[in-house]
Amino acid sequence: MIGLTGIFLLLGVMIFLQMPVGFSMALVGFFGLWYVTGINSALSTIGTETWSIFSSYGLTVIPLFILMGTICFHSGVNKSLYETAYKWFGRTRGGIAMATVMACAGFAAICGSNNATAATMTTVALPEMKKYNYDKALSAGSIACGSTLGVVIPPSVVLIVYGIQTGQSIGKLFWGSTLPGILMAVLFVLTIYLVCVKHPEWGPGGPKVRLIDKIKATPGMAEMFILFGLVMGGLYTGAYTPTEAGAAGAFFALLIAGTIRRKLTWKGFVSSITDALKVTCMVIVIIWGAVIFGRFLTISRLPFLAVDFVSTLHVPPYMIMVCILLIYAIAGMVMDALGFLLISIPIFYPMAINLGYDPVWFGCILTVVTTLGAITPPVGICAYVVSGMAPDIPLSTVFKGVFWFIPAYAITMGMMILFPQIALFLPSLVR
Amino acid sequence: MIIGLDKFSNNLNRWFNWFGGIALVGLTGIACANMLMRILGSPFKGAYELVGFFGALVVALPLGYAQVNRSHISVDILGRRYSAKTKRFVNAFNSLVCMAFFVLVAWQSGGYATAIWKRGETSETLRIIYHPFVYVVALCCLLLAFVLLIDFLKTLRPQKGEK
Amino acid sequence: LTAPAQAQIKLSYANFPPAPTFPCVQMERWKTEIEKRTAGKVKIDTYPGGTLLGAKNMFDGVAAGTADIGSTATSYFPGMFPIVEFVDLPVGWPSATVASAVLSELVEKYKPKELEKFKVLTMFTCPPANIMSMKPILGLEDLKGYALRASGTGAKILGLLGAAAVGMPQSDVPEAIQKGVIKGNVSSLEVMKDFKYAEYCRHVTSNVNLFVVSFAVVMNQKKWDSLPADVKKTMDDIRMDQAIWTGRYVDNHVKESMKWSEQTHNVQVYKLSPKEISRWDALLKPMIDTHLKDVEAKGLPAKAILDDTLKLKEKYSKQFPD
Ligand code: NA
Ligand code: NA
Repeated sequence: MIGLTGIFLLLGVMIFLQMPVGFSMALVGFFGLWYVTGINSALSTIGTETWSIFSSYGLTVIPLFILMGTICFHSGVNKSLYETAYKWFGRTRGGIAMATVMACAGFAAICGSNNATAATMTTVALPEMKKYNYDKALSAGSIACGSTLGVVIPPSVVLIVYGIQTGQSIGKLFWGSTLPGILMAVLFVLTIYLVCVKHPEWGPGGPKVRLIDKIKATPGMAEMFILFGLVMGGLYTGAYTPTEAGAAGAFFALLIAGTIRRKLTWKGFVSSITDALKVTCMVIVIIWGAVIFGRFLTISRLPFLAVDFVSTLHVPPYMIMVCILLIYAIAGMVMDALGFLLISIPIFYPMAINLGYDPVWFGCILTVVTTLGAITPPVGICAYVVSGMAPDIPLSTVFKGVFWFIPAYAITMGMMILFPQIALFLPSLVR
Repeated sequence: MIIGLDKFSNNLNRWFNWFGGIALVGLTGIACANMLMRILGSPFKGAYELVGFFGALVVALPLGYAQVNRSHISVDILGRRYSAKTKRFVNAFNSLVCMAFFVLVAWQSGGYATAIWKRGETSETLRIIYHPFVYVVALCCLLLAFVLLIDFLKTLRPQKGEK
Repeated sequence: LTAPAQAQIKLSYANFPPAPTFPCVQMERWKTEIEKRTAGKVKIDTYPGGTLLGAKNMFDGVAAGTADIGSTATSYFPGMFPIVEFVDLPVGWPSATVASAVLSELVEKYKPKELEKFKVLTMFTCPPANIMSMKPILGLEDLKGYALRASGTGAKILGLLGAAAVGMPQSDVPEAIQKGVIKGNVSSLEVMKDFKYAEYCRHVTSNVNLFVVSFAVVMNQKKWDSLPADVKKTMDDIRMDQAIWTGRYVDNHVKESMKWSEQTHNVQVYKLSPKEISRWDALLKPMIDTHLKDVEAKGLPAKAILDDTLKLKEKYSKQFPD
């Protein structure tokens, strides 16, 4: 029960005291650990975890991709990208938000982390959507949800963890998650379309552009596509790993900004670095808080109780699957999804297999449901990132925007349950 | 007095942020150099350790600067409903509590650095000492606590629009 | 519900790798055995996958009481465990069972100062590291400049052998192998199946037995002191048994994994001739000499420990052939 108390305390500190979210999670986690395991343990945790999280190799992908984004921003690469996109898709209501979701999907193919995707896409896309008078909630929601494609579309941190935990082929999992990722992206686009039907002023349509002008404007996308090609190319020829792709991206962005564009001034470069630092610091402090709070939740055994609860249910197999997904959705609201995955897989995985579900399918659907945790309040790291990077968009607005996209997640999972082939078709083609 | 402290803190943080920038450029450089060397057939086997250490600097050095610029986000649902006085009280409370907490974090991180120094702990592959990096992280937490202290002192003075 | 006559003793046990890996399997086995042998008097909550403490924070975390018991690899702390490190030297361990038994006896005999602050519950090692690669490695010549991943000690050993040692955290390896960023991995061979490396590494050189990684399971000393005598005795009695059980389990797991790799992915397995292996040993000898010197400088009987290590290796190799 101390676990639940901790969650309510966290909500109180965050909502009533408005303490920064990273600080609140660390603080409540600290007091929770103190209560459960004693002051020495709580102090030791903040001492050792601070270093181990800050120095984590896996997290360095975040500053590197953010740097790539800020360099693109300050050298105007994304501005020309969006000008072109506006000519092509601007006439459709919500067209720029749709293009942004597609850009998120493309970026997700090079980056395995949704936080890095959120940070990069916020830098690249948010100012542009603002320029075209898009609604703040819709813009922020599109980016926050689009960025969750970062882990659904391979490469993906969650699938790697699942693969290592369950001994499934990571290659097959990657193939399996590809179609669900694309399906999700399509559903996001559809969501934007429907939202804009209801609220046309949220994604105002632009003027009509002649085809010839569209074609003339197309070279404006070239730089971004060259950058994308360089990063993807290196990734698929084995020149570097997905973690290293961030560094390559930052380097190539600098190269393009400096040589093709010649628009990146020293001042722009300094701003790129400063912005990247601020955002990195903010994102990783939130992750730091989430880890410390997660340690406390773990030792409170609340997540274990939740898992045990489902494993004792006597209901039909599909209901058990729905319960498992619900537990993930609820756990994802309050703790780091990856942390809960590590705790729960040893119990849920054999359960799902015994019920006759395919292990690859299960991995893919878990990826969708855990990524939902990154955008649901109160602990929704991707939503935090978007809001943190756009000072004029309060957190509540981001969550409001995110709300519209929740059905897309539910439909993706529902379709995966009804048509498992969505996740199983591609893996069946590879050996 | 507060104005002086504030100025001092801003300058200090700007410097730390500069070093953070250098660390970020260094981080990119190390990672790229490692890829290049691996393609050329002579990988630098400890690169990922250095990447981690520089990553820590990239996060830690701007800690104070990010606080000065209010980059650490909070939930704002109730924010607009609070009266100026309540707001000031809440801010004072937050700054004070967070300051105390980051003093603890700095103290414990420093203690951790001292511990690995004393037992001669080195990194796994390069076998280099790394406690200086941990000390920098501790120092940066202390700087954040200092910024929070100034934030607290500022809340003690009546704000505009409040009697 | 009837509570047991005596109040239960609750212990928390943290481990860093994912639940299906052998360090966690041995943790569950230890938990089951202790709970059984104490007839429910002791209850143990396990935390696999670094959910409570990570590998590097394990010793500090157990000392501070975040977990009562913790298991981690001493090999991740180079220079910190000079006596244990004798087992990490490239002396050609035949199996995890032998190496685990020797490690346990060495620790028993020399009572390393660096483990004094803790109660050592058991010690074990992983199976000997061998080479899984995308091309056949049949001799030192094939190894020259070849990009192989290894961690810590392994990277040093690969460097001495002339390979291009790539340092990379375990979490990055599956993708790096898949994409061909690295051409293979050097570690104990159960990962061929566990991480599905067999899909990409079709060649295994299986008898070079380069090194082992040592693990320690430690308990917070205060917690240990607070335990009743009979529980202490139960835990002490199981110490050597647990080490050998773990070695046996993971050695069998390697066999199973290799069988699977050969059957499902047509993996080719090579055994090098004793003559070729002696060439490798010659290159690795300086590493042993350096360690001897380093440990002597610390005022420890280095030569005696090494002799004991080798003597025990002979003894247990006979006791646990294959
Ligand atoms: Na991805
Ligand atoms: Na959430």
